[in-house]
Amino acid sequence: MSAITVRTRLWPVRLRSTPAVATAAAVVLACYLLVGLVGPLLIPYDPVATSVADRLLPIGAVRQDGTLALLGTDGAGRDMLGQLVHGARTSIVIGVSVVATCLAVGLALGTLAGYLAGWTDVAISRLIDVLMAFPGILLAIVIAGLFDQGMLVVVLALSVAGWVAFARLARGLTLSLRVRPWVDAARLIGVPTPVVIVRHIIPFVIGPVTALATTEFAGAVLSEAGLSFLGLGLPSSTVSWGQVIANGKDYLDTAWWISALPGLALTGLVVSTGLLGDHLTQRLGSSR
Amino acid sequence: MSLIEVRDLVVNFHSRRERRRGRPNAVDGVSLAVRPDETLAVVGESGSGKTTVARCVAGLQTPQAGTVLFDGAPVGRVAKRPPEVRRAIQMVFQDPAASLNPRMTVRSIIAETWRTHRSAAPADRSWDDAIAELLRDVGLDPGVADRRAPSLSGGQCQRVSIARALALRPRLLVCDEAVSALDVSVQSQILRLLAGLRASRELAILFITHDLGVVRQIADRVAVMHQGRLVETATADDLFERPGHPYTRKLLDAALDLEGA
Ligand SMILES: Nc1ncnc2c1ncn2[C@@H]1O[C@H](COP(=O)(O)OP(=O)(O)OP(=O)(O)O)[C@@H](O)[C@H]1O
Ligand SMILES: [Mg+2]
Repeated sequence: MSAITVRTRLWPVRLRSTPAVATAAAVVLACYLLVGLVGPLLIPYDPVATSVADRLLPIGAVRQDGTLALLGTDGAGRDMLGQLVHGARTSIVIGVSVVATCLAVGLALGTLAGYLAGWTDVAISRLIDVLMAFPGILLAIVIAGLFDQGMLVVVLALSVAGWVAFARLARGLTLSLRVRPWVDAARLIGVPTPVVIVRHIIPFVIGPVTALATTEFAGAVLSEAGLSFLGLGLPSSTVSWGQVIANGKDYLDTAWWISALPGLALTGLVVSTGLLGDHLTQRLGSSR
Repeated sequence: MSLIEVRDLVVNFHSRRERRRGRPNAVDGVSLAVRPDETLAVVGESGSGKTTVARCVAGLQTPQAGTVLFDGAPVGRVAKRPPEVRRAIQMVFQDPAASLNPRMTVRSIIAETWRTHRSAAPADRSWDDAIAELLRDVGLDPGVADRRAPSLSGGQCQRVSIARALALRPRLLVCDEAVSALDVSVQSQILRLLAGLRASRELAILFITHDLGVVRQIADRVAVMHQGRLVETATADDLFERPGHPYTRKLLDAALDLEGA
């Protein structure tokens, strides 16, 4: 064994990240993307349209009006398939927004801290230390609780601590890149600092950071579901798997599908993203 | 008058507290001068502070004490230098491949110098023509312009580095072990190239090396460093004929032993 890596994993099982597993994960992920982005256009769903007569229909049952409830209905008679599909879109939109925000902020602050060193580095590193001292989800709960429910608040709440991982990674890589002779050569020529960072540092940081983005996406999706489960996330006009799981918790023994289906959907998304992230980390993590 | 002059340079990489406890300086009161058109070699064993002196001259390292004078005027670190001074001092590094951004083509590496210093950019013809001529000047095929460092040999990378430096028409070229990573035949090609450029371009060279054979091929004068101090400065001929300092004699003997073996 050449190296020991200590890393927290999002799932307890150790699945070896072979190319085959990574390909399978990528295919599953592509399906989620397809369902999340195209599905809502095909399957209409209205979260406020309830139907008492169709409450708690099991998987494959027929509604009063003769239509098929493919994945059953919930306690208010709303279609489960519609909730899953629209929830997928919510998860993807939130996950991508959070990761994009965190990546942009983390990459900028991390490379700046690593490249400029001095008091800039001290200030940014202290900020990172402080944020790392709080559990990220706790911070998100506090922030989400302080403001009105909404998409933007959720994205901000999850990003406040989320950028730290990107910044740490980017800073570490930058520290080793800034002493490369090609960076010295650029400084010698007088290339402005922002250009040096963008042209001579970031291209070599972006690979590992992208790998991290995949892993962080899974975390963001999971956290959003958590917030929505607690009622701190999205307003009820937006479908979220976390809310659906929460709606079903009173019927766990009679109508298990209400909580189980979004739970499975969430697990599938998080696990496949994590597997792909692992593979990317191995491939891009130690890029030059 | 000297083109570049270093006065009483002191560099210490240790923290202030460690310094007070008497940790030695990496460079300890070095003074030297390079005249225009002259090649000064700085020799010394590993860790004697040669690179550190070179980086102070280039402005990549801030000394604890001492001054660097260019054309008689003190200059600070590279970011604080006026553009024309920055342009005038260029450097060739030891590691050929790492001297060039591996993601950039040779063309964009050279063009970057002109994008930064518009005044040095070719005005009367296209940049592509100027790049082709520059590459020919350093003994490369102009077709190299579209390639990236990972696909070039060490000698080719070093020629590109020299071309990048020359693109700004510098007056002083600082070469830090510029041929140490190359094998002997390529070494002498690059040394001949530098000697030729020096004549055609009125270039002063500060040549850092630990190899006395290289010194003999290129240097007019030699400064010998030992443990951060300058122990002797002499013309190259004098140094090889009549080494003044015992440490210089030891270096020469060691080099002769190697050649004899
Ligand atoms: N960035 C740095 N941080 C800490 N110490 C350094 C640094 N650079 C150099 N030193 C130390 O300063 C001293 C002089 O180093 P320098 O690189 O100038 O020597 P050199 O003569 O170029 O050696 P070599 O022939 O091996 O390149 C050495 O003791 C070295 O360990
Ligand atoms: Mg050195």
